[in-house]
Amino acid sequence: MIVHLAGSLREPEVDAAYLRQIIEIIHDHGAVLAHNWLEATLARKKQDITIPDWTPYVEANIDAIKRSDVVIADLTHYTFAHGYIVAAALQYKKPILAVSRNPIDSHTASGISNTLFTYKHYVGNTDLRQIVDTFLTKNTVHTKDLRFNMFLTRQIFKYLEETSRETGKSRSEIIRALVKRKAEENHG
Amino acid sequence: MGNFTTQVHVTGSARQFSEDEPYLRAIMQAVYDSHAIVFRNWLDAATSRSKNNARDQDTDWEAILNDNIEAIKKSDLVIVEATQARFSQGLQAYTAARYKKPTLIITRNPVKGHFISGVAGKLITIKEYSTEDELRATVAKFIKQNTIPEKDLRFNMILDRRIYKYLRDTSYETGKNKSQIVRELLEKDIERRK
Repeated sequence: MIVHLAGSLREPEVDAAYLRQIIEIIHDHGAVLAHNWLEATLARKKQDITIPDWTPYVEANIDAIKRSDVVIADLTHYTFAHGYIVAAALQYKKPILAVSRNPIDSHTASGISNTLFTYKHYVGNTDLRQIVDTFLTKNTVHTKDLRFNMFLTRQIFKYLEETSRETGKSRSEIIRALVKRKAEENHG
Repeated sequence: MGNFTTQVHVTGSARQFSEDEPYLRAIMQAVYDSHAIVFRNWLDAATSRSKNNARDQDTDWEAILNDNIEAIKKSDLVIVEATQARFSQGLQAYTAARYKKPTLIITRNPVKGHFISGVAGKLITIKEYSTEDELRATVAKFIKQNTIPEKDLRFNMILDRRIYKYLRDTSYETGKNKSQIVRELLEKDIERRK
């Protein structure tokens, strides 16, 4: 499973410690990060290096969201970038876990009613671990293919039989191609 | 300037409201001065909330967010005052671009070296300002550049023989004129992309 992690380093040492913990939990679940930006950003901050052009970084974030199965965002500093990334994740229909050390109950993010969006307030390492752990367990997408059984009406069965004969493709293959095409249409 | 019905969604942060309010009012005035309409004038409600010391936790954020998203969808242009660079401005800027709305992000803070500078693109323009006059001029220029006149527009194009023949035959079959057939095709494509 691929996870995109978003956050900011306004208080570099404190924020990095929590983000590292999230990464550790992600790895404990056998998942990988879509884009491991934390250590490079931290090094840049320490050396006081500013990025002259942010366009590739914004694009890399959007690309990472598209490739991910789920998104975890630490909204503690509640920035423009966080809003941008959450909106993108919702567009690409990714389950999002938003965590924050500052409660967001009286902010815009608390108005997001999309079922893909989960918000949890955390105070320290222990509850952060539990929150991220629960979210990943609930949203794990297995990397291997999944078995799926379904009932078919006579009409659909007949259609699949005929199409299978005509095209030489198996019935499952025809259904998978249909679903894949529909999913691509929906995701633009 | 002609008779326009351009609708503009204006958004900003209520976090440092007393500091930002004059600039937000200047944006809205510049919209009206450009013969456009502010889609959802939330400023007076926010002023009253601020005067009455209304608590943020008593606010219906879901309704506000949904109203903002709806306003973006229905507007022709979007203006984001992003000096505070908060979550809501980022969310609305992305949403505006997603719905293909020309968007102006304006801020009193330098954007160089920040995430916000990386979101500029075909539809998103980012400008810094320091005075109300500068702000008004930027907004007016943006609206002028992106205004679509109310009346229908004349459009000429070259057709190859094949397309011309198709339009002529379809016009003959359906009784519709060729322009109508092309317009309907484009409208269908617009619907499909929604």
